[in-house]
Amino acid sequence: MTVVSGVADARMDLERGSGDNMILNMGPQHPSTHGVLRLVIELDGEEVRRCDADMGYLHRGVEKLLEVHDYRGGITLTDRMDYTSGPSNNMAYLMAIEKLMGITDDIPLRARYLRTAVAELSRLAAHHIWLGTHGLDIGAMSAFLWSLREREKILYLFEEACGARLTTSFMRVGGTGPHDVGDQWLDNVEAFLNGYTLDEIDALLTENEVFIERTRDVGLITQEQALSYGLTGPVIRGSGIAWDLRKAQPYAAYDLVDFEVPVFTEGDVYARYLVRLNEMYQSKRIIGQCVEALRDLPLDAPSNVDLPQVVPPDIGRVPVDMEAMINHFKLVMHGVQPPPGESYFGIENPKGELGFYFVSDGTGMPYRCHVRSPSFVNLSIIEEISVGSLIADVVAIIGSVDIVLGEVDR
Amino acid sequence: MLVPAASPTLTAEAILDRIQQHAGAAYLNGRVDHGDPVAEVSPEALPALFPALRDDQELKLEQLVDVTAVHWPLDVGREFQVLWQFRSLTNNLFARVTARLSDGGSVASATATYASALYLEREVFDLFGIGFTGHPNLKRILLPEGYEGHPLRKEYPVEGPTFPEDAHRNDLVGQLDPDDFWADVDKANGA
Repeated sequence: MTVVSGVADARMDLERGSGDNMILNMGPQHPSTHGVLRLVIELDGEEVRRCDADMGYLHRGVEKLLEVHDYRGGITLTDRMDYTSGPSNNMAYLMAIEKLMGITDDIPLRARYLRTAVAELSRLAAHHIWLGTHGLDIGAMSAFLWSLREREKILYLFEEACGARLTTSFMRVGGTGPHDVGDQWLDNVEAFLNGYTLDEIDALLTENEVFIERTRDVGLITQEQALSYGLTGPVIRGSGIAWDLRKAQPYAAYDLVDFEVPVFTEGDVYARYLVRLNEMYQSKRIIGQCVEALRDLPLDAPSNVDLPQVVPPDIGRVPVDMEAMINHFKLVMHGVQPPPGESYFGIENPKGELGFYFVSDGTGMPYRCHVRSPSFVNLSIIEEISVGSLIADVVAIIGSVDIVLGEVDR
Repeated sequence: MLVPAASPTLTAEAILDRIQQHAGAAYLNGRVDHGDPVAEVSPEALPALFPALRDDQELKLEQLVDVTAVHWPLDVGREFQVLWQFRSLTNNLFARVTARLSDGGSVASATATYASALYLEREVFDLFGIGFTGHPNLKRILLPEGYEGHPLRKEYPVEGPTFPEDAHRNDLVGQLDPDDFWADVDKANGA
C-alpha cells in the first residue's frame, strides 16, 4: 500500500521530536500503563504535545486460534483476553454462539440467573482491580490493599463454582454446563454480600481533596468525542450518555432484575470514577436479587437447554443408553455445530461492549471469529485527550479509561 | 444528557429501507440475519454513505462499533468481505453494512466520519492487508512494523511462517548422545 511509506516517516518525526520538545517513552514496562502499553509522548516542559500509543506486545492471535478450535475449546481462549473478568468474557462468547444457533430464547431461567450473578461478580472483581490501581497511580496506597482484599473473596467464589480463579472457562453453550452451583455456593455468595462494603474505600477517595484535585477537569471527553470514538461502558456513561447494553438490549436475566445505570455528565476522570463506584453498588444489588431468584427456583429446575446436539447427556446414561452414547460421541468428536450463517452479539462487559462476530460454515469450528474488544476501541481516545494535559495526568487518564492489555492485543 | 430509546425505534426492515435510500443504485441486497439488518453495498458508495447514515435523523447511527473482514479465498475476484457495524445510541438501533472487494483492493476509510475507525481500520489493514484510502495513519497496529504477511488470511499458517517443519518429528528426540553432551560440559568447565 502506498500509504504506509509516508507513515513510517511520520513516526520518525515523532521519535526525533520537533525543536526543543522531548520525546518520552512511557512503557511498555511502566507500572501505570496497566500492562505492556507503550506511549510515545512528545513533551513541551511538562505538557503533552503529541501522544502515540504502541500496542501489540501481548498479541497472541486469538482470532486466528479461534478458527482452529471447536466452539467448546474456544471458551478457554476468551478468559485470557480480559483476565480481570474471565467469566464475563466466557459468557459473551457463549451467548454469541447461542445467538448464532438461534437458541437464545431456550436457555433455562436457572442458567440465565446464574450467568447474571456471575457476570456481576466478575464486574465487581474487575472494578476492584481498577479502583485499586487507579488509586495507586494517583498515590492512594490503602485503597489498593482494601480493594484487592475484596476481589480475593470473589475469586474464592469463582474457584468454588468452577475450580479456577482467573481462567475460569465457566459454563458451556446451552446453559451452565457441568458448573451448576449448589445451595452452599449461594450461601457463600450471600455471606460475601452481607460482609461486603465499599464504604471504607468510598470514604478514602470520593471526598479526598488530593484525589479530587488530581481527577476533576482532567481528561475531558465530550459527548461528541465519546460517540465518534465508539466508546462504550463506564467511559461513555461518564460523558453523559446513558448507554448500557444491559438496559438497552437486555440479555441473560437483566430484564428480570431491578437496577439503575449511573450516569455523570462532567466527562472527566472523576466522573468516570463515580460511574464505576456507583456501578459497584448496583452490581451488589443485582447479585442479591439473582441469589434470591436462584433460591426460589425448584431444585430440579433445568440448568441446560434440552437439546442433545448442544448439551452432552448425563454421563451415567452413556454406557447403558444407545441414544445417549451416540449423542455423547457426536458431541465429543464434532462439538457443537451451528448452522451456516453469521451473527454478532455484544454484552456489557466491565470495560464496555465486548462483542463476538461469528461466521459459521456448518462445521464444529468457526470459519471466522472476530472479537470486538472494548479496551482496544476505548484506548483510541487516549491519543486525543492526553494532548494538552500534564504528563502526570496521563497516568490518571489511562487509569480512568481502564484498559486491559490482554484484551487490547488479543 | 443523552438518554437512549428504551427499545429500537425502527424495525430491521425499515433500517434496510433507509440504507437503500442513501446508497441508491449501489445498494446490492439486504436481509435480516438473526434479527440484525445486513445491507450489502458496492464499495464506491461508501464515502457518501458513512456521513449519510450518521446524519439521518431517523437512523442516527452515531457509533461505528466495529470494522472487520472475512477472507473467502475461493471466491475469486471478491475475496474480501469487509463489514462495518453501526449502532445508534439515541434510537437504540444496530445495523451491519458489508462490501466485497478483490484481493489487494482498497475501500474508503470511515475516519472522516467516525474516529473509532482510526484504530479499527488499522487492525483490519494489519491482519488482512486491506487498504483504506483516506486513513491518516494507516500502519500496523498489533504486529510489529516490518512484519511480513497478514495472519488472518486463510493461506497464512496458524503456526506462523517461520515454524520449523521438523519441530513435531519424534525421531529427533534422543539423537543427542549423552556421552558427547557430558564431554561438552566438561570441556566448558575446563576439565
